[in-house]
Amino acid sequence: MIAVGNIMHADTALVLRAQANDRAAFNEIVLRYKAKVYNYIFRMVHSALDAEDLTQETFVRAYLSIRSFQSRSSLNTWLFRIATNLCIDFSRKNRRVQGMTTSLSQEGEEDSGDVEREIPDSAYDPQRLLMNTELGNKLNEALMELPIKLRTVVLMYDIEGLPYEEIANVLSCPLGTVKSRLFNARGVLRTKLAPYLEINS
Amino acid sequence: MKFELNPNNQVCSEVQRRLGEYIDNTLSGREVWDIERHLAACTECNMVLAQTTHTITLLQHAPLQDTGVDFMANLHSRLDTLGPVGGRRTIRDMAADLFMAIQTHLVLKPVRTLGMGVAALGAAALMVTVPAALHTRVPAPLAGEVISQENLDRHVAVTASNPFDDPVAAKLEAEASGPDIGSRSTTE
Ligand SMILES: [Zn+2]
Repeated sequence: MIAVGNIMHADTALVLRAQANDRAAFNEIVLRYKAKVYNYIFRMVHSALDAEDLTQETFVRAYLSIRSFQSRSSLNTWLFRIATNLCIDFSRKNRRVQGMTTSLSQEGEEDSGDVEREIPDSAYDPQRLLMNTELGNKLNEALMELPIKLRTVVLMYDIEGLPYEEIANVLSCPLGTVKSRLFNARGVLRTKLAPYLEINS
Repeated sequence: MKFELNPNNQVCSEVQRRLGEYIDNTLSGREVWDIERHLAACTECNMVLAQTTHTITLLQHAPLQDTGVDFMANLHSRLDTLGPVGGRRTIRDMAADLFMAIQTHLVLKPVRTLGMGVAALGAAALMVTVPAALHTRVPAPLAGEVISQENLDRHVAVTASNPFDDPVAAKLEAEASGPDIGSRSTTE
């Protein structure tokens, strides 16, 4: 708990400095949160190029709006809210994100130009973008097949480790909704992954 | 509540409904006891438990992705065009802050702030008429675009509304992106 408290305290100090037009403090905020935000967005949109853009956009909006940030929510919650809203807007405009399941599920589709197009040029290590194991690929597919409402919750809870309360804050929904979406999301993932899990019954 | 073996599987589905919380360790001791008693005698629920545990473990160990190497450089060159942290302070920004402060007070003191609201509306109306030379945003897009984008930024950042069902965001997004975006609403 002490560690969490210290992080919160350091965040508050950084926000106050950034609000007073300290660019170095804002830079520190970005360095502290960019991997978390990017990882979340990447799993929301499943495209390194789009995730990079949306992560940039998240921090641009944070930069522009930091004066209106109030410590009612944590910096983490606030950034996830901006990122989530951007991902939802993005998926509204890109049916591919919500309905890409068929193309991803088809055998051999990984080698098609469609996927290659999503890998940005030189600066990226392809190993970083695609998981190697079959199970990893199945997990990615299953996540992308989840309805976006379920995907946000399971990503925030099981991958990013946000507590229920914080997720409820990000999504402005009741705690019970978070819990039931998590239950449904895990249920769908379990059913889809069951054939690939080696479980001795 | 006690979970007994039951031929119609209602008990199993109740147990399975709580297996996630069981794995997350967020149940009371009594609930854990009940679930474990059932698990000791039910193959199907054990199977679901194993699969759920495995799925959650997979999620928790999914490799973390990070941004490209030039992320910070790209971001900073974008931020450079936006001026100081918080964006350039235009009179509209100050008017917006004033509105924000009023909104905050409105919850606590509805009567007193009514007068302030009227005053602020007057002030804002005055500010809109201030020459555009005061708004030194770089690069300078059309005035309407700036307003839309600012409204959208502010809304996305501070809104308490549910992002999944957010007509305000959709409207602002449409305004900010201009007429050539595919997903236009049909009601306009
Ligand atoms: Zn059972």
